[in-house]
Amino acid sequence: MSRIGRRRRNDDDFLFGDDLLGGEPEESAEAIEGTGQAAARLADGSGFLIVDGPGAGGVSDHSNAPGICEAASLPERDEALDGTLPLFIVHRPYFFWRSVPRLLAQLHAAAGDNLALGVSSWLPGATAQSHADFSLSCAAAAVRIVDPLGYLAEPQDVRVKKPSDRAVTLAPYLRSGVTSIAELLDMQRERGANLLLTSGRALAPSDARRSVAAACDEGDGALAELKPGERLALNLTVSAEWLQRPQLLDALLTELIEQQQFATWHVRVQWPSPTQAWTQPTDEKLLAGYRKLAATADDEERRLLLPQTGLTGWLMLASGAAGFGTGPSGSTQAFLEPVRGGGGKPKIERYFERQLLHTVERTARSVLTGDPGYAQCMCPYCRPLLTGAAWSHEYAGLHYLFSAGTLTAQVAPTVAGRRGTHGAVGRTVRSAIRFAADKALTGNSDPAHLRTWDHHL
Amino acid sequence: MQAPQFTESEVAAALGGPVSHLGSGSFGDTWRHGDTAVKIICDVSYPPERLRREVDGLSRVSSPHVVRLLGTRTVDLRSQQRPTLVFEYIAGGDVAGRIADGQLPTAAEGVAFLGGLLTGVGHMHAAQTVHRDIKPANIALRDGDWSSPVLLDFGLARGADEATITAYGTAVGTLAYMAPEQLQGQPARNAADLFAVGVTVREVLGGRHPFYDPGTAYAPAERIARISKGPYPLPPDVPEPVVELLDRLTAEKTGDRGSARSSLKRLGLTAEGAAA
Repeated sequence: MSRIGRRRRNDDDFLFGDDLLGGEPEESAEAIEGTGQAAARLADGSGFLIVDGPGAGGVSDHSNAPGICEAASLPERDEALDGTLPLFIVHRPYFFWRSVPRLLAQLHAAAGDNLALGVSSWLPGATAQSHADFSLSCAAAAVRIVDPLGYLAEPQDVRVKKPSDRAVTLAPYLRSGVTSIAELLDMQRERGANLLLTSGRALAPSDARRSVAAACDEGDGALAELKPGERLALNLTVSAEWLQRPQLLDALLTELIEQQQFATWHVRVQWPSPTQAWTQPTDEKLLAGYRKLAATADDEERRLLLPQTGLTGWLMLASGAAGFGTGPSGSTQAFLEPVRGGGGKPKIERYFERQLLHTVERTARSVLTGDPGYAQCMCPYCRPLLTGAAWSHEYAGLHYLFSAGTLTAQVAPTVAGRRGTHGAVGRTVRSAIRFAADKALTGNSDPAHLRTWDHHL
Repeated sequence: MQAPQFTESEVAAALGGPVSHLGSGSFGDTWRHGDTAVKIICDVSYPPERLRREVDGLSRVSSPHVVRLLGTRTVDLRSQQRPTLVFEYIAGGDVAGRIADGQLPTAAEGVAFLGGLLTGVGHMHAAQTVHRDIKPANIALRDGDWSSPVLLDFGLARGADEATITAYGTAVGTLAYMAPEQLQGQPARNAADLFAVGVTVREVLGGRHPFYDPGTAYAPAERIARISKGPYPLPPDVPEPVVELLDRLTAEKTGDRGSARSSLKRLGLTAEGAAA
């Protein structure tokens, strides 16, 4: 076993673990490529993306081989950001990132008419070459983000661990906290981003208006550095209190309204303790703040992207968010406060139950699967996941992403019907509540968020 | 009306033709001269910066709901060169005059008035200009039509990216139409203009100031408290969606007021004021 394979415990380690230098993750397990045969035309017209069948996720210069049928065309970045389709952003995991291009292609095949796809990588998390390779390989992603994670440079306003030496080497601005916005944009360009971000430094609640104004000033500087055809999102990182406290929320909303030059807002909110991985926050004030932020963005025709927001991001599509991001691991799926300890514990085997809108522990699944109304997931990852001898965290993570992506497509305005996304999200949540009603689920398997969500819809 | 600082004959001689007095402010007089309105800065201490802001503010904006600046010149009055601004003349009087005369709009006219004001403010804000002193006296009605309001007097306007000026004290504008943040000495931004639009429209629809009683002096803290308490109710014939929009515009928090554009959307209008 390699040193990396022996020591790594979770995705956080590559940002925060000093002793985990070098190397790339292990190869993903066998491909699950599906039995169909379909290809989607690339947005730039240079070829086709195999979205189903052998080679899924790969790019071909022709799609006229016998048996290949053409899938929905891939949207371009600007189409993906015009608000017509919800944008589902997959955060690149440290493990099995090579499986992401195939996952995206499969999602496009399954739901491409009603879904725009994006990928987001953490700039301090990989080498420039690795980022560039990943961006290039994600042909189904109309939006490609390489997030500077500027909040790691001055971590006093959100709770994060100190970045590792490797992370600082890969992103030197984390050491000094100072770099020109032009350099920061160049780093993202070199790594294959097509939606550029400002630094994403955390906003200070103690000096709210000045802090937001400084972030907007940085955004103005970034806009001045854009080249023709480039797009920018104002990148903000905030603690939960920014959405919970009326004064802080007002400062945020005021800038959202006043700063008309920023069409896209990328707002990362750190969920408060004790929210745990794979659960959703149930704090009423936090959810109300999210909802107001999303509704205001929609009202003002800004595109609000909520990275690392798990299914709470999906919920906020109902209120007007344009897209959200989640990942297959505990640290990529949502932006949580770090927990102390926990090292050495075996990784919990979890499975996302689509009907429940929640991830349950594997051992709790029998409570659900015995229900006559239980619907077996037909995604490409469930058959090997559920029939394999050993639990595959990779497949479980990919199943979660596939499910979250198709759930997103399910509430797209294009399919949601008369009551739109809000109505479709509401129906899905209420259906999950009914499904959960007589199930004895406890601990982190309990979908405690559903009742709170229902109140917010 | 306040008396002008120069006589009609003096001004007529300086401008080269017949004039009639339109109004006076603390720094100057405005005269009708043919189909123009000429604002003569009478006070020699008038800050050149303020004049520049007014010219800049007006030059940035092109809107049927914002007075058109035709040019600048100087005129010789009592042996002194006085800067002047030449505007289009808008026949129809201003809103303050209508209020004083008790000529208030119907609910439908009030809604059209609101749409016109929001269109003008939207054009200003899109041009990165904040008026900062919207009030009935600074709104003309083209041909006396409530649906054709025209914003006047950009003396306090500034570019959205300019630093806050403090030359006139911490609060810039007219107290009765100031937003809470202005009353607290914070810079006036787009949201402050929208608050003033909301107060003005409520005043003409309701026949009284929405927050203050006539003839009463208030300290800034009392003004803020009255705004927090909420406005006086509007007449029942004002449509509910319009009441909701006016509530939004006069909200205490800046983040609750939205933009001119989103407010127009609520009236079913485009940014150009046309039916959506």
